[in-house]
Amino acid sequence: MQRTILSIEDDEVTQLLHKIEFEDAELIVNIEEAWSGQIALDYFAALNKEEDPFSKIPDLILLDLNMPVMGGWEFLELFSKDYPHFVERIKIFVLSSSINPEDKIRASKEPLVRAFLYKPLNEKDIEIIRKAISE
Amino acid sequence: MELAFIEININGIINSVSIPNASPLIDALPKVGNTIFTFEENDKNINIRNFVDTVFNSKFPIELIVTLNNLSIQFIGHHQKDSIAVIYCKQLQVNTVAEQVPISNKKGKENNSSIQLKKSDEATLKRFTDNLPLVLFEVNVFEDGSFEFGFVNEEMKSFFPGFNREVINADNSQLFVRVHPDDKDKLIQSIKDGLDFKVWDIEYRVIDNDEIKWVKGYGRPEPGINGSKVTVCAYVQDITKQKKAERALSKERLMLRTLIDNLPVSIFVKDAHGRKLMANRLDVEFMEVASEMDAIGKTDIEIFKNPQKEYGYYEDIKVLHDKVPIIDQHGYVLKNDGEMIDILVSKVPIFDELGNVIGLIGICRDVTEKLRIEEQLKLIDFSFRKAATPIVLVKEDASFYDFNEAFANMIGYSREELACLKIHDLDEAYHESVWIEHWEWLKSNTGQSFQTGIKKKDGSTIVVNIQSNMIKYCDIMLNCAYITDITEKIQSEDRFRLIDFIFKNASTSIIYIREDATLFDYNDSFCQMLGYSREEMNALKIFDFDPEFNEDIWPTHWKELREAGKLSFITKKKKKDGSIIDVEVSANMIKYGALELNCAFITDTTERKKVEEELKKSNKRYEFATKATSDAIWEADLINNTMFLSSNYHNIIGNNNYNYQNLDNNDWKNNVHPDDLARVLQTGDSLISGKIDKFQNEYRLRNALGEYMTVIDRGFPIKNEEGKIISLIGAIQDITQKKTEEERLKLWETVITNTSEAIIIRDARPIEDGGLPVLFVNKAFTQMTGYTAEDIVGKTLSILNGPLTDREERDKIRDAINNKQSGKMRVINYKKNGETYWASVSVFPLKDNSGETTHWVSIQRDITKRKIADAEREQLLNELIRNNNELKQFSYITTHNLRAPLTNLLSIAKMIDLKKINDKRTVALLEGFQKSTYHLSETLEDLIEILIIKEKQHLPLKEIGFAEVLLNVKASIANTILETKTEIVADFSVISCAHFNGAYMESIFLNLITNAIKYSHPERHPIIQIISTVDKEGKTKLIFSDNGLGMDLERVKDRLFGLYQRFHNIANSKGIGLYLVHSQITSLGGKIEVSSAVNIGTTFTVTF
Repeated sequence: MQRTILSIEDDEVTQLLHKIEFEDAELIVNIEEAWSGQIALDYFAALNKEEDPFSKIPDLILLDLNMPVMGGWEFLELFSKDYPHFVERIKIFVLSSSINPEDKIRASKEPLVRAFLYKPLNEKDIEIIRKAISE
Repeated sequence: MELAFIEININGIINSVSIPNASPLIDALPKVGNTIFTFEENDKNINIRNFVDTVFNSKFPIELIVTLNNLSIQFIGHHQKDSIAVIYCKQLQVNTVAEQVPISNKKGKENNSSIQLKKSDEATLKRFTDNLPLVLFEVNVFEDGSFEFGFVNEEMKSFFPGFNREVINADNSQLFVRVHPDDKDKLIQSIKDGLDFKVWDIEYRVIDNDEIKWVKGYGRPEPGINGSKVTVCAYVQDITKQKKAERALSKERLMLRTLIDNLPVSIFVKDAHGRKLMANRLDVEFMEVASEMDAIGKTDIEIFKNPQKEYGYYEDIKVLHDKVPIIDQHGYVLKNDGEMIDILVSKVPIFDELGNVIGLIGICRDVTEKLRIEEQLKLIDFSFRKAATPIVLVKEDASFYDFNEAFANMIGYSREELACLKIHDLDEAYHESVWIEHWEWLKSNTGQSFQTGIKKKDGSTIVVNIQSNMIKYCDIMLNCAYITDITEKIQSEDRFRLIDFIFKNASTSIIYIREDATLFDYNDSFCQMLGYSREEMNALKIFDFDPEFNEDIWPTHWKELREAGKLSFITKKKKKDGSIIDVEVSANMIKYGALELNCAFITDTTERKKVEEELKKSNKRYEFATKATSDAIWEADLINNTMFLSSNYHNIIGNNNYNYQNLDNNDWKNNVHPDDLARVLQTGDSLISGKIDKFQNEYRLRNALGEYMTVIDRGFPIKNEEGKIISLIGAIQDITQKKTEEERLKLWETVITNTSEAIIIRDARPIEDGGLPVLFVNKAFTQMTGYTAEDIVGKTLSILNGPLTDREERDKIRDAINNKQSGKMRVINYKKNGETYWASVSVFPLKDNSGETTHWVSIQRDITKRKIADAEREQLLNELIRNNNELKQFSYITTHNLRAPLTNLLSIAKMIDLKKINDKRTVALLEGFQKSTYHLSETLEDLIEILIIKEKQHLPLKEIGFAEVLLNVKASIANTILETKTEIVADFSVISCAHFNGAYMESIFLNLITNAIKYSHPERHPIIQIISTVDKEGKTKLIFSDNGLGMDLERVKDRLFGLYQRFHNIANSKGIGLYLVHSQITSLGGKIEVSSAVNIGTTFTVTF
C-alpha cells in the first residue's frame, strides 16, 4: 500500500525538491502539499468529515516552521488540540532551515515531533523517513 | 584823341563798345557779342587772355598795348564789379613804342616789359591819364636815394593839393611834409628799396587838412632814364575808406569775440565732423585745456578725459546727422577734480547755402548754482513748512498770507479754516480798530518781541511770545511772526518764584555749588549759620568754609555726586569766627539750564551731635553696668535679718513684685524647689558658721510662670572690721539654657553613637605630621573598619589609607579642609584586618561663634556593594554595546557580501534558456533555481533597506502635508486602485501635516494603503478611510481604517510588526511592509498601533 506524506511547506521550490529527492531515493510515496499550517488544518478538517478518515490520513507530516498565516509550531498546537485521534497515528518530522537553537530545543521537548530535520533533505534523512513510514 | 570803351564779362565776351565817331578804332575793335580774344587770333604775340585774367584778378587798372590794323592801341583794363570789366582803348602814335605793357608776373615773357612813354607823348598820356580816378606818376630815383618826379597826372592835384613838381624835385623832403610822421621812414625806405628793383607796395598815411588818409602806393622800378638808377611808374590810391572798413570790421570782430568770450555761457563751434572750430573762454574752462588752440580740430572724445566725452561727441554727431537742434538739454560735466557741473546744452546745426550741415554751434550753460539755489529754495520752503516753531505771515489787512503746520497745529485749526480767519479771530487784543495802529507799530519795530494771548479753536487761550519781522515780498508788506507758546514757561516762572521764595526764606541752609566749587546761590539761613554777610559769602569757595574739602578731592567728590545723583554725608563747616560746626549735608545734583549744580541742604548738627555723644556715653555705662550685673545680686543682711534682691532678679524670675521680706520668708526662699531648699539653706548655714568660705549651689528656682529653672548660686560672706560675718552676698545665674543644651547634646551623642554611618570628629588643629587628630569615632566606625576608639583617637585617619587609595580623591578632601569647606570623595580604604572597602566620605567643618573652624566631622559610608554592582552593570553594558556593534557589522557583511554572488546567480538565472533543455526534470530544477534566486534577491534587497532605516539616525525632517503625500501615493498605484475599485476617503481637516521625513511618510501611506488593498475582503470592494487628528497630549495622529479581511489580533499581535511575518495566504505577500513602516515610525520617535476584527477590517493608528 502506498504511503502518504503531508508536506506542509510554503515554498514552491522546496516542495519540488522534496519530490525529486524522494524519487531519486526511490521512495515511492504519495505527497500531499499544504502551503501553510492553516491549509493543513483545513485539510484535516475536510478529512475529518469523511466517513473513514483514518483510511486517508497521511502517514507522516513534514512540517516547516516559518510560514505565512500559520507557522509550524502554531499548527502543531492547534492540530494536537483539535485532532488528537489523528496525531497518534501520524509521525511528525520538523523539516526546517531555521538555525534558531530555540526551535531545536522546542522540537526535542515536543513529544509529537519525531525528529528535527534540516533542509535540504539528505540521504540519511530520507532513510529515516523511509524507516518511519514503513513502521 | 578820343577814347573808346569796351565792356567785357569774365569770359571775354564784349557787352558793349563805345567808340567816338570816325575813330580809326571802329574797324579795329571787335564787335559786341564777340570775344575780345579775336585779337589773339590775329596776332600771336599778344596774350589777351592773360590780360583779361589779370584785370579780373586785380583791384587796380592793368595796361596792355596791342597792335591792330597797324594801329598801336593802348588798353587799360579795370575790374568794375563782379563780372564786368572796362577796357579803355586809345590809339597810340604809330611811332610810339608798341611794347607790351606787363601787368602780371604770371608769364615769363612779359616780365621785362614796362610802360615806356616817350616825352613827346607825355601830353597825350597826361590827357589820357588825367581821366583816371587814381594818381599816376613817374619817378626817377637816383643812386643816392634822391628822386625826381617825371610824369604826374591830373589826379595828383586833388590828391596832393598844391603839388609842385619843381619844388619837390628840388627838395625831396617837401614830399614828406604831408606824410604821417610814423610812416615817413617807411616811405623813404620803400623808395630806396626801388633801387634794388624791389616793387613798391606800400600803405601809408598822409595828413590832409588834419584828416588822416590811408593811401596805397604801387610801382614797379625799371632801369632808369634821364640818368637815374631806376624809373618807377607808380600810382597812388586813396584807400582810407577801405582801410576804415577793414578797421571797423576787425574791431567788430574783436568786439564780438570779446563779447563771446565774456558771456557767462560756454560757446563753441564745431565742424561737420564734430571737431572744435571755436571755443570761447568758458568753453576752454569747461574743457580744462590751456587754450582754445589745444581744442581746435579735436572732437569731445579727444578733448575730455571724463565719461561725458563720448556722450558729448555722440550728441554732436546726432545733431549733425539729424539736422535737428537740441535746446536746453540737461547734462553735466565732470571736472578732473571730481566737481560735477550741471549744464544746459543747446546745439544748433549750421547749414551752407545748399542746405548741407557744415557744423554746429553750441551753447552750454552752467546751471549748478541755479539748481543749488532751487534746492535751497525748496529747503527753505520745507524748513518753513515743517519747522517746529510756529511761523505765520500776516498781511496788512490782518489776514494770513501763509503759515506753517506748526502754527496750525498749535492753535488747532486746519489750513482751510485758517485761510478764512484774521488776526482778531485769534487774538482779541488786535480787533479791527486797533489793528491798523498795531500794524504801524510792527512796521516801525521790526525784530521786536511781544507777548499776547491766542485763542485756540477749542476756546482755550495760550500765552505766546511773538517775534515779529517786517518783510517785503513782491511788493507786499508782510509781518513774519515766529511764535513761541510760553504758557508753560509762564507757569514755570510762577513756580520758580514760589521756589525762590521758599529758598530765600527756608530755615534750612541751602546752597547751590558749581563744579568749580564756587557758590551759584545760597540763602540767608546759610549765611547766618556761618556768620557771613551775603556779600562776604559771594567771594567764598567751598574750601573756605568746609575744612574737609580741598582742591584735590573736590573733583572726585563732584564725580561721585554726579554718578550717584544724590549723596548724604556728614562734614564740618568753619564759621567766620573760626569755630567748627558739625553739619549734615544732603547733596543733590541738578541740571539748571546748561549748568550742573549741586543743590545742598545743610543742617547744623553740632548740638544734636553733642546730645548723641552724651547719650552714647551714658548708654555705654549702662551697658557695662548691665553686663556686670547680668547675675541677680542678693544680699542677706544678717544684722537686720533682711533680704535684698537686685532688679536683675526679676529679669530671671519674671516677677516684678519681689519683696524685701526678712530672711526667713522672702520671695526667693518661697520659690526654691522644695527638694533643693534644705540643701541650699544648709550651705548658707555652713557659710555663716564659717565652715566654708564660699558656696556654689545648683538648684531649681520657680519663675513667675511657675516653671522651674536651673540656677547656679554663688555666695560669699561679708565681714566687718572685727571679722564678724555681717551679711552674705551672692549672685544667681540662670543656667537653664545651658542645661537644656547639655541634654540635647547627650541626645545627639546617642544618635551619633548609634547611627549606621561612621562618624569621625577631628580637631581642626593639626598635629606634627600635618594630619588632624581624631577626637571621637562612633560605634559604626568600629564596625566598618575594625578600629576601636582607643585604636584611633589621637591619631590621624591616614591609618585607613593604603596602596589602592586614590591619591587624587584624597587630595579633594585635603583641599576642602585647607579651604575650610565641606567636601566629598570616594576611595578604597583599608580595614584593620587589611581588607579593602569602598568608602563614600563627606567632611564638613564645625565652627564656633566667631566663625573659626574648631572641628572637622567626617561621615563615612561603606559603598563596596554598590561599587561592585556598578562595575558589573558597566561591564554588561559594554558587552551589550560590543555585541550590538558586532551584530551590526555582521549584518553589513552578510548583506553586502551576499550581494556579489547573488548578482551572479541572478545573471545566470536570467541567462538560462530552458527551451534548450530537453530533460524535464532539469527544466523543473532550473525553474526552481530561478524562483529561489529571485526570491533571495528580493529578500536581500529588503534586508538592506531595513538596515538603511536602522542606520539612519538623523533624517531631514520638515512639515509634510498629508494630502500631498496621499496624492503621490495614489498616483503611483493608480492602476491597482482602479482594478480593485478601491475607494479612499481622506479627511485631514483637523490637522493637515506632521513634522516627519517625507520618504518615510510616503512609505507609511504606500504600505498601509497597499496592505489594505492586498488584504481586502473578497466579497467587497476595499474602502480605506484616512483621518488626521490631534490627541490630548497634542500629538498628531493618522488613522487608516479598512474594511478588509482583518486579523485575529490575539494570535498575531506579537508578530504583526515583525520581519517576514505573514498572516494571510496571499501570493505577493512578503511580510516586510509593516515591519518597514514600524521601523520608520519608531526610528523617528513615533508609534503605530493596530486594532482589527476578522472579516470586518483593520485600523492602524500612527502617532507622530
